[in-house]
Amino acid sequence: MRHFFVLHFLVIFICTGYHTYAQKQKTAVETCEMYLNDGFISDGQYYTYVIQKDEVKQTKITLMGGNTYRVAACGSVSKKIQFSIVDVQGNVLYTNTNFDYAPYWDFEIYKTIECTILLQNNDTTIPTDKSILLIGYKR
Amino acid sequence: MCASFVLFSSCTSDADEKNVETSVGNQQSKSMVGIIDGKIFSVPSPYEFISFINELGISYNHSLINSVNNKKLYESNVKKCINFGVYGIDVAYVTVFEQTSTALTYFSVLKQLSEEIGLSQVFDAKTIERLENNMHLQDSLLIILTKTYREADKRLKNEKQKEEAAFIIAGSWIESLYLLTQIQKEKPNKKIVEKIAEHKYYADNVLALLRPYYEKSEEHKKIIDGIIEICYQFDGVNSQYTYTEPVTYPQLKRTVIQSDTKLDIYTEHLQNITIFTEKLRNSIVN
Repeated sequence: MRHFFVLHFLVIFICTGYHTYAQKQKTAVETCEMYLNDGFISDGQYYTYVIQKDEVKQTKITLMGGNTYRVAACGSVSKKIQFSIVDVQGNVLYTNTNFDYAPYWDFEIYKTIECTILLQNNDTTIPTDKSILLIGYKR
Repeated sequence: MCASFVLFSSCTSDADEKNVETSVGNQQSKSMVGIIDGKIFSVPSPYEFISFINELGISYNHSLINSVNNKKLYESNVKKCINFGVYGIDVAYVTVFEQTSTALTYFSVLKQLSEEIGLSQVFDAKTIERLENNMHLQDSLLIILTKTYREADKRLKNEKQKEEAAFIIAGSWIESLYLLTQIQKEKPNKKIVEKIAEHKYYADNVLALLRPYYEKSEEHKKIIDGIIEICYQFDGVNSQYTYTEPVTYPQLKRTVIQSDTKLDIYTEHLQNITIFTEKLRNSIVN
C-alpha cells in the first residue's frame, strides 16, 4: 500500500513537471513572438531546436541588402541562449554574449550577404533546452 | 540518374558539419564550437519578394500567376503542398497591385489546400474575419499572409510533416523565381537581374530541404530533378565576398553590417535559368 502511494505521488510529480515544462515552452514561443511585434514582420518561418549541452545549432541565412532584420532567440528554460551571426569567412559579425545574452537584436544590412546563425545554450545547469529562433523584417 | 546525383553534389553547400573557427573583428577570439548539427535553411518569404516587386514600378500582369482553376488538378500531396507555396507568392503578388477581389479568391484556394494537407487550423474563423476586414489594406494583408505562412510552417514542423513544409517552401521559391524571370523577360531591368542572381543563395537551401525525398516517387524525382537543373545554372553565378567590420550601437540594440557580396551572372546562365524555371513551374502548376 505504501509503495502504491509512493508510485502515485511519483506519477503526479512527473506529470506536473511535464505540464510545467510544456507551459514554459509555450511561453518561450510567445515571448519570442512578442519581440517581433515592435514594427517587425516575420519571415514566415519558425525555427525550433533542441540543444544539448556543448552543442551548437546552425541556420544558414541570406540577409538581403537594404533591409533591417530583427533576430530573436529564446530558450524554454535557459536564460543564457547564445546567438551569434557568422559570415562565410568565419568572422563573427555579432554575438549576444557581449550584450548580456540580449534575446533580440536588430541588423541593418547594406548589401546582401550569406551568413550563419549559431545557437547554443551556455547555462551549464540545463543539459537540454528547446529554443526558438524567429527572424523578422522591419516594416 | 547518375547525372542527377553529380548535380546534387555540385549544388550543395561545402559548408557541411565541421568545427568553425571564429574571430570578432580584429580581435582574435578563436573558439572551437564543438558539434554543429541540425542545419536549418532560410528561403525567401512572400513579404521579402513583395517588398522588392513594390519598388520596381511595374504594372500588374494577371497571366503570370497560377490560375485558381488549376487547383482541381492537384491530387497528390506533393502537388498540393508545392502549389500551396506557389499560390502563397501569387497572393502576395496580387496584393501588392491591390487586386483585392483576386486576392480573396486566392486566399480561398489557399484555405482549401490547407484543409487538404492538414493545415485547416491555419485558416481559422479569426484569420478569415481579419482577412475580410482588411481586404483594402495592403500592409495588413501581407502581415496576415506572412503570419499564416509562419503558422503553417510551425505546425508542419511540430507535427513532423517536414516533407510538406519542404515542398511548400520549394513552391514559394520556384514561383518567386518564375515571376522575376518572366518580368525580366518582358521588361529587362538590372535590379531584377541582381535579384534573380540572389536566388543562388536559396538554391542550395531548397535542394537540401528536398534531398531526403528524392527516391520517394517518380513525382518527387521529377520536381527535384527540375530544381537540380536550375541549381546547376546558379553554380555559374560568381560571388565575391568582402568583409567590413560591422558597427554596433548597444543602446539601440542594433548592428550595421557593411560587408558586401558581388554577384556576376552571365547572359547564358540567366537565359537558362529563365527557360528551366518556366519549364519546371509549368509542370508543377499544370
